[in-house]
Order: sequence, then C-alpha cells, then structure tokens
Amino acid sequence: MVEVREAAWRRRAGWWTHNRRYVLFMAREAGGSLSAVYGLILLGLLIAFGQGASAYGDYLAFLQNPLMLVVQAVILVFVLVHAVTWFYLIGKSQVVMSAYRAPPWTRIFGLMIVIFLAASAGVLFIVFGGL
Amino acid sequence: MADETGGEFDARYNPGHEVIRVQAANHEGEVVLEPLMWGLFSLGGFLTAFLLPVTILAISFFVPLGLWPSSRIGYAWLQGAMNPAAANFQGLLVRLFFLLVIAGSFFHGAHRFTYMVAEVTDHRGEKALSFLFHGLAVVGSLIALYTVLVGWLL
Amino acid sequence: MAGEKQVVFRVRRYQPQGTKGPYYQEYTVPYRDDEVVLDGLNYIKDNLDPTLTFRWSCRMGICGSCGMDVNGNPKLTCGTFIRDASRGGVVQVDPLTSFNSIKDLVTDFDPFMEHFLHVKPWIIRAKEKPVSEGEYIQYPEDLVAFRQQSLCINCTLCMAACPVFQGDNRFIGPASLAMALRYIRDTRDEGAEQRFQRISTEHGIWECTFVGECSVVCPKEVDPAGAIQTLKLMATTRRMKKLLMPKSASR
Repeated sequence: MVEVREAAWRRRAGWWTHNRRYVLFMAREAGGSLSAVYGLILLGLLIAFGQGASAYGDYLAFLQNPLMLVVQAVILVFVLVHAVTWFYLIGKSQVVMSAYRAPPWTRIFGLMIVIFLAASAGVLFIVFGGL
Repeated sequence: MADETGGEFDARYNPGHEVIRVQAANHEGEVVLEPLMWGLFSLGGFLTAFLLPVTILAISFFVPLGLWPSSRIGYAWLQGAMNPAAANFQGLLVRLFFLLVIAGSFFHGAHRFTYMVAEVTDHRGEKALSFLFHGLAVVGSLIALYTVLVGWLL
Repeated sequence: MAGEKQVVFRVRRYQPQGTKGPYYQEYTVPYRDDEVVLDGLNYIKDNLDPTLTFRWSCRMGICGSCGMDVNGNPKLTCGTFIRDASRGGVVQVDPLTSFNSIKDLVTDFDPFMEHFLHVKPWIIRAKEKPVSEGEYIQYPEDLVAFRQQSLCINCTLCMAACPVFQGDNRFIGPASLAMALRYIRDTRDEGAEQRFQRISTEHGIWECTFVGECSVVCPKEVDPAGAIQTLKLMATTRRMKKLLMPKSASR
C-alpha cells in the first residue's frame, strides 16, 4: 500500500494583514480592549476624587503629562474605530436579526450616528455642564 | 447519519485516508456562563461606543487643546456634578454615567481581550484566561460601584 | 480557446504519493475577456497538463464545487473572470484556505461535513405529520424569515475566509451555523432546543468574533455573520429565560 498524506493547512501568523477588513477587525478588537484601559483611567479619577482635592489635582496633572497624553490619544483613535465599526456591524447584522422586512444597513448606521451625537451632547451637558 | 462519516466509512471507501477528527465539537456540552458574558459584552460595547469618545475628549483633551480652562474638570466641578443630595436628579445621572461607562468598558474589554489572547495561544488555557479577565472586570466594576456610592449612599 | 491575450496561471500542485511537499507550477494560458478562471484550469488540463486535478461541476455558481483561492482570496472559479483576476499578468490559484489538500487543488472538507451534520440540517418534528393530514401551512413572511440562509450552496468559501476556522478546525463555522438558523427559523421545525444544545458551545457560536469576512465572500449573500449574531442573541435570551423562568422556557 502506498503511503498517502494530505498537505496540511496551517494558518500563518500574519493572517490579519492579508486584507483591509482583517486589519480593521484587529483594530476593532484592540479598540475594545483599550476601552477597558480608559475605564481604568476613569476609575483612577474617581478614586482620586474620593481622596480629596489635592489628590484629584495631582491625578489630573498626571493625565496631562506628555506620555499620558500620547497614550490617551492612541486610546481615543482606537475607541473611535471601535465605535464606527460597532455601528456598521449593528447595521449589517440587524438585517438577519429582524427576520422580516428590515431597513438597509445604511439607514441603521445613520440612526446610530444620530444617537451617538445626541448621546455625546447629552453627556457634555448633563455630566460636564455644557460647552 | 453523522456516524457514516469517518471511521468505518473511510476504511471502506478511502483506504489510507487520514480523517480529520473534529470530535470536540460533537461531544462538548452547552455553555451556561458564556451567553451571559456575551450579553454584558454587548451592552458594554453599546455603552463604550456611544459614551466613551466624548468622555475621552472632555477629560483628556479639551483642556490641553485650550478649549476649556482646567477648572472645568476640576475638583469643584466633579463635586458639583456628583451632587450628594439624594433627591438630586443630575447627581444620580452623573454617578450612573460613571458606573456604566467604567463597568461597561471593563466587561467589553475583558471579553475582547480573552478572545484576542485565545487566538494567539491557539485556545490553550482559554477557560482560565476567561475566568481571570471576567473576574477582573467584576472586581473592577464593584470598585467603581463603591466609588460612585461614596458621598451619596455611603 | 483561441485568443490574443495570454496570462500565466501559477497553480499550487501537490502529489499525495511521494515525498515532495506542495510546489507551484506555471502555465501560459490564452484567454478571452468572457472567460473565467475555471476555463483556464480546464484549458490547462485539456491541452497542457492532464495531471492537474481540481473539482468543478455546474460551472454556473450553483453546485459549490469549484471553490479555490484566487490570488489568496476564496472565490468560485466559475464566477471569477480571468481579466479581473490577472495581477500583472499572473493568476495564482491555490486550494481553498482552511482545509488540507488531498491532491493539487482538491481539498479534504471532512471537517466541514462533520460540523454540517452536527447541526442536524433537516426538519425535526416531535411527531412526523402524515401526508393524509395535508401540507404544512406557511405564509410568505414565514419564508422570508429563513429564505436567505436556505440559499447556501455549501461551497465553503465562508469556512475558508473565517480566520477563526482557519486557526481552529473545531469551530463549527459560518456555513453550518447559518444552516442551523435556517432550520431554527423554519416554522415547520421543532428542533430548536436540540440545535441550541449543539451550537451554544465553546466551539460553536461563542467562538465567533464577528470578523464578518464570511459574509463578504459568500457568493449567494447568505450572510452567515448576521445569522451567527442572531443565534448569539437567541441563545442569550434563551439562557436568561431558563435562569429566570425555568418552567416556561421551551421552544
């Protein structure tokens, strides 16, 4: 009997560089993970607040130092990528989710953007006391 | 019908053929916690997507960009915004806002990070990693809950 | 296949007997604007190299046999024009991603078959309805609920595109999960509980990270990514119902 074997398939390490959508997916995953890092920053803010005015002031100064600003800028970029891809995905998946007649994804995406702007304005005015 | 693939079928029709065994998918049981974790992840994703960008801009960038004086996010502002009077609607909203954004980002990040690491490690130790990261998210959310209740209920 | 234009087909070969691993072989193929990659492969087999082995059948995008990687992207070769596939005069053809190859461009898709049968892709009834009782009544909206996923031709391009399945063949995969939704949503079916027990698992719907590439490459617009997210939502609500109202939780 002749020995026969199949040529084995192995996924390569750089698979996600193969096309734009894979790269965007990785950025989205990174954005999701980095959002938790900003959650930590916010938690630090609240803890500093609980410790009094001077601790809070020190914490704010820490956030403003150049290295921390770069970190926060990177997080902001990835969080924005995450938000935009999240709205896109909701639009794309609700077509199947709603089972019956569903509006096109562009309309849902537009709706998400409107809600995003409204929520941002709400946060600015209710939490931060307006512009 | 599933019994007809592989095994005896292959011995009869495909001698010498290596069949890829995918038994794990066939015999594993239903998961209980995972749907709930996914639900929290999904909720966290919504909260993060809608509320986090403007928060980052307001706290991290409006001051260094010169759009606001630093007093706008100073101690006095936060004290006023979190207004300890229990009946105060705005104070309640601000506290809820912080809790939701922090807890939401923790649960969302925990889920994503677990899967990112699982992909790299070929799913080895995935259960342990999931337990660790989701556990950290729970702990972090409880701490956030505590800081949000201080000066209001505590 | 007389034509003035020529293109080079760079095809991955593999001989299962013998000690050599996979290697590339180049063939110069004349083509016309209206010809597809499958036509090129058939030209090679008919005129240049009869040993080249590949699967094909209907050549019109309905049998799902001719899926291969064209320039690294999973495609039905019967639906990919050579004029579109040419990259600097070269068309590279590889066996479909994610699967081992048996010979040349022929893949072993047993992992897909195992997962497909695992979701029980047939109508499950508690009790079969005898023909004498008449037909199942379904309204147009009942059909709309599952029609999109029923269009699947089992070409496995989605399994090739899915990076999760590429990395882990134990993942049930988009094709089978879309089929699971097709049956769960069919009003004639009573097997949702059985299917959720099989797909709400570690290597089932929860391994999906919604990359979405499966829906991009699907030639029939089945949208398996949307189907899996729907299943996740259904599984979550089902789990919550079971926790909160264990007695009433059923189909």
